[in-house]
Amino acid sequence: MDKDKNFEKQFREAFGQIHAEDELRAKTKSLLARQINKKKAHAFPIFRTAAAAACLLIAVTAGGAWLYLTPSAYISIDINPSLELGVNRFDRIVSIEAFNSDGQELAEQLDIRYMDYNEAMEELLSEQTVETYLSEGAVMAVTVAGSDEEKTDQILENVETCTAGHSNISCHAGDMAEMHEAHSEGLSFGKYRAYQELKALDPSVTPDDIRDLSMKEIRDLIDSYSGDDSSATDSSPENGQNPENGFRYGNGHHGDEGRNYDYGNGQHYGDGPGSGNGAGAGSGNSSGNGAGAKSGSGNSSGNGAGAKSGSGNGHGRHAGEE
Amino acid sequence: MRSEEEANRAVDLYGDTVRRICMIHLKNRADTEDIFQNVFLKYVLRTAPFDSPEHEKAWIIRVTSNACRDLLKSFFRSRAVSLDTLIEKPQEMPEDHSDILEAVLALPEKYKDPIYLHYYEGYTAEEIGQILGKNTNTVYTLLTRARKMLKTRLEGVTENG
Repeated sequence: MDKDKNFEKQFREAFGQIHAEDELRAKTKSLLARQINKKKAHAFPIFRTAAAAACLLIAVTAGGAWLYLTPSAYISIDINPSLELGVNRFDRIVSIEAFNSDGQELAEQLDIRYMDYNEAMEELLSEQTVETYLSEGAVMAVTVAGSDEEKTDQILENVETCTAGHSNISCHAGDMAEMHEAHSEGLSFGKYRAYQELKALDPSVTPDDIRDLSMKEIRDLIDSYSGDDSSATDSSPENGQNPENGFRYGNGHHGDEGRNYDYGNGQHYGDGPGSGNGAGAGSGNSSGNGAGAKSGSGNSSGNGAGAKSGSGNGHGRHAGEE
Repeated sequence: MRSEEEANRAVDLYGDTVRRICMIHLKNRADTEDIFQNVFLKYVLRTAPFDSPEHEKAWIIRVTSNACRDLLKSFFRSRAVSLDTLIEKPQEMPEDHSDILEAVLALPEKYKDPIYLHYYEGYTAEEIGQILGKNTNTVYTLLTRARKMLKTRLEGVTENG
């Protein structure tokens, strides 16, 4: 037993001499420190990647929302209620703006937001109030404006198809610049055009005067001013309808390419090759508003028609060509 | 992942123990350094808490022992001859009590840990069994045999010397 104790003592002494060398300790410590810091550094890029991914997601979502929610074209609808529908590049209605109290009411009744504009137009036309207006002989003006001409033409075409069944709806195309002017006057685009026609005849008219007038009333006003000069033209919208072509009004007195009409006398109507019954691209009507599929409109005040998108207003003006 | 302070504390506290276990198993300095660093790296990477300081120490001992065994068992090692062996450069041994150290080193692998833990660290057979994952009675047997072998060798040395 004593021997064993002695052995144990010796054993302890023997192993007690053995120590981890300072160099080994130092080396190990620095290695561990490196590892610990490296791991921390590793965790960081993961965090950064996640942050970058989140940013990307937000950007894509925001970009998509912007694309979707930005109207690229507007459809302005005027009977008495004045409405303007913003159509985005995916042909969906993204905004509905009313320009008078009737329009506000109508907008509240309609649930057409995010609908395809074709369906929206159907919905609108089958809407009780609108139907009532139309059956009572109200005039409805549909004006399409957009920054992209191709798109605008396409929408106009579709809208015309939609409204082909109704005799007293007229469709026009316009451009954005004109529309912005209309908005700055607080009018919808369709009314603004009528207002300009009226203004040409009676410079004392203000936008406020006509804001709450129905299109029919404005038309009648224009007719009353221009009735004398434009007796040569058809005075009723019902005349010369040509729904297939989207022409609503009257007979054309225009050449295809925006001839110069000497309005005021009316005796030059029918000049030129395109004259006749709304055959060409333009049409004119007594109400001073002509509509063409692509062409400009001439009005009874003797405005010429543009070949494509020009519209003439006022007396004795030249129509624009392209 | 443990902090740098914890790592330093562990190296200071258990460095000697780990170093000694390495010494009784391994024959060269490079391997010792390898295992030594690996053990503490494992310690740093271990996130689960220890129940007590004893638990921590037992864990360190077991990890060191396993690491040494793995190294000795590895395929590469069993087939290749280390450069150190070729140039006959064993690790430096302390002068004093070299007979005891040599006697322990000469023991077969499985006896080394129980002997060291029993005589130096003062663990009982039961504790050694727990640490090394062996039956208590197995540890008794190992200790008895090892003691016998050591005695024979040491007595032989003294007789011859």
